[in-house]
Amino acid sequence: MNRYQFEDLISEYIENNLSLKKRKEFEMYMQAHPESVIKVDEVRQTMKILNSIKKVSVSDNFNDELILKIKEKNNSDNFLPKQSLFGFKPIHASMMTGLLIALFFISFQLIDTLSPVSSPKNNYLVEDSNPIFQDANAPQKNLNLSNISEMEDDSTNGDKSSNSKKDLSKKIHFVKD
Amino acid sequence: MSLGNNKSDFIYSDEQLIAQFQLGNEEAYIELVKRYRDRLINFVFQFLGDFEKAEDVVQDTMLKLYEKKHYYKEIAKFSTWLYTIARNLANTELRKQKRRKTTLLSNMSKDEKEYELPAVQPDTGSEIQNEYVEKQIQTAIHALPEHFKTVIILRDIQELSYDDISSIVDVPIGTVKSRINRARLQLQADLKNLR
Repeated sequence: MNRYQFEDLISEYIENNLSLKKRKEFEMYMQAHPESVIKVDEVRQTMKILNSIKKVSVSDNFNDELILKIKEKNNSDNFLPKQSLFGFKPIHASMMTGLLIALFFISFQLIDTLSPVSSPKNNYLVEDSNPIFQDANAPQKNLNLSNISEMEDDSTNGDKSSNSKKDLSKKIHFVKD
Repeated sequence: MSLGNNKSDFIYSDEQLIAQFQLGNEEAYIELVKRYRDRLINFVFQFLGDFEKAEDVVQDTMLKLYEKKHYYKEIAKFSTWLYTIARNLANTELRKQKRRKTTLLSNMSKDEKEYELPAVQPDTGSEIQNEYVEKQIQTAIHALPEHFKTVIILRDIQELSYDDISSIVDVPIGTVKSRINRARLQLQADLKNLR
């Protein structure tokens, strides 16, 4: 056994936790090194000093202060839900509401723009509001001569258009659900 | 409900009390506070070396016990669970103290630096002598590295078992024993002048 091995076992020796074989080795080392006996004794005394250290107690108002802390904590916890709206703080809740309204508004605008113009009401709205659609769907108010001749040509092709209508109607197939 | 006053004749174990507290019995909580406030203050006071701070830490520990009662599961001993909370809070406080000291020192010029001298010098009066010895022991404990300090306080001052200490500091028993032995050797060297 060397010095380091001896030092590692001091506490276990004092606390009687060494095996018989180790204990014999330890005691043999002490016999061979008298200064090691002093060391073991000093460690034992240190343990006694630590054990006899004056114990302290909490102050008299410890419980009162603790109860106060608990109450403060509880009050702040109870107060929190009153100040929140679906888990959001008022400022965040109002911002979120504003964003939602804006999102709805934009989505309705998009739906209106993208949906096919089918109802008479929509036609009316489109004619009034959008001049591009006016050109495509409604007759122009300021007609010139060339336009009149074009219209006459169209009117002479009445049979053709009716034929083509007939042809188209033949091609329509109804599909059962 | 009588919960018993002396450690020897406790009607309910700590684990039974915390179970009752988890069910909403606040009297059980008060009993647990009574049982542990002095044990914890001794541990934290030796760890921090400042009584007021130690009391704050113990109160915070009890507050945590109140708030996080449902976190306790009966797989561990209640005492080790509570000591672990106290130890973690004390560690946090110690780190804060160290940071504060570093800031204070860095703010002071070289001439202004103050060095702590023992408040009491050895004297003939036994009370003063005891006070001096206590101060020297506390200084020696305080000078230990944190992982030595925790285990030596828990073992030699609080008299906890190696098993409990191992659970509190979350290291194997072998490591705990080795740390305690090293801490004792260091204290034996530091406190030589007291003998």
